[in-house]
Amino acid sequence: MTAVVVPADLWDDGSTAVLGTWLFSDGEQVTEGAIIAEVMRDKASYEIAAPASGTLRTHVAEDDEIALGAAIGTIE
Amino acid sequence: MDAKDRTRCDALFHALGAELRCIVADATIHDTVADPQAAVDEDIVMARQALGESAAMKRARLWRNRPCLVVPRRHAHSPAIGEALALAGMPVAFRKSGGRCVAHGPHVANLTLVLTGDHVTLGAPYRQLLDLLERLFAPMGIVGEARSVPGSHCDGRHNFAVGGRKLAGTAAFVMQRGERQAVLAHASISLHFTASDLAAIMRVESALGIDADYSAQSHVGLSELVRMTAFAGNGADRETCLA
Repeated sequence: MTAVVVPADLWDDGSTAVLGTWLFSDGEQVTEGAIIAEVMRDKASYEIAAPASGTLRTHVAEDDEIALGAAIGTIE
Repeated sequence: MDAKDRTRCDALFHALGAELRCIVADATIHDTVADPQAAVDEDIVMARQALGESAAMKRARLWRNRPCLVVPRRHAHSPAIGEALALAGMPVAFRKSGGRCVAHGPHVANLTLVLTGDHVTLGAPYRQLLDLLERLFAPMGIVGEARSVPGSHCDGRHNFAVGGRKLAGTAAFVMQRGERQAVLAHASISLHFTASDLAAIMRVESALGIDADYSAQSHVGLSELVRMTAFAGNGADRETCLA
């Protein structure tokens, strides 16, 4: 199982963001490197890539607040 | 917008284009692409191309679109999107960057900056775009600041505001391809503020469940500012800009 983590270096002021969009649904198969989510902060949208291939499990809902380094899902 | 306003917008757009080419020699200038969505998507095409290059890239594009509203893609799957589209009164296109609904048309100049490699500043995706806006407006004698403007549509901390009113709004999209990243930052510059845009935006956002209450007083168009400043010669026809 591999955690889907918001990279800690996406921005540098420690502010929070929201999970903008899941591009795949919970339970869908994803491929390593595929863009699976977008995180929104300050009117900027950041792509999040799948760290592994497998079944996506989403841990946060769209519009939920998230922090840098947060695990937003897992790949099983 | 009447014919005189349209002529003034055309002149201002060409003045900005001439100034942009002085700053970024290989900047792309696109005027009124046939399909609103295709015009928006051209930004993504440019970013993907830049990501495909091994060298660090810095590309700029100044463009206008047909009259339409542009909504962040995350709203495309909203249960209320059908109602929102019906209320728009004009075509609606979707973009990948954040923020809220904005209007495009001949009275709006869009400036897109795509950065890859060493040019990328992930923590500050708007910095270079705001610097470019500052340089573009300087020959017109226009000095602004990056700030939020209460009462403006699609508000954010990185508007380019003049005298407390919003002249340009900004949004960004950060693309990821393996270890490579591209920052796409864009600005919508109001060439001529059009109050009916606000009404259309509020109808669409209300349908989407967004609290939308914007004021015309929070916005300003370049045509209004140019009237108030000494218009420096930059290749544009000053008389047409002021007509």
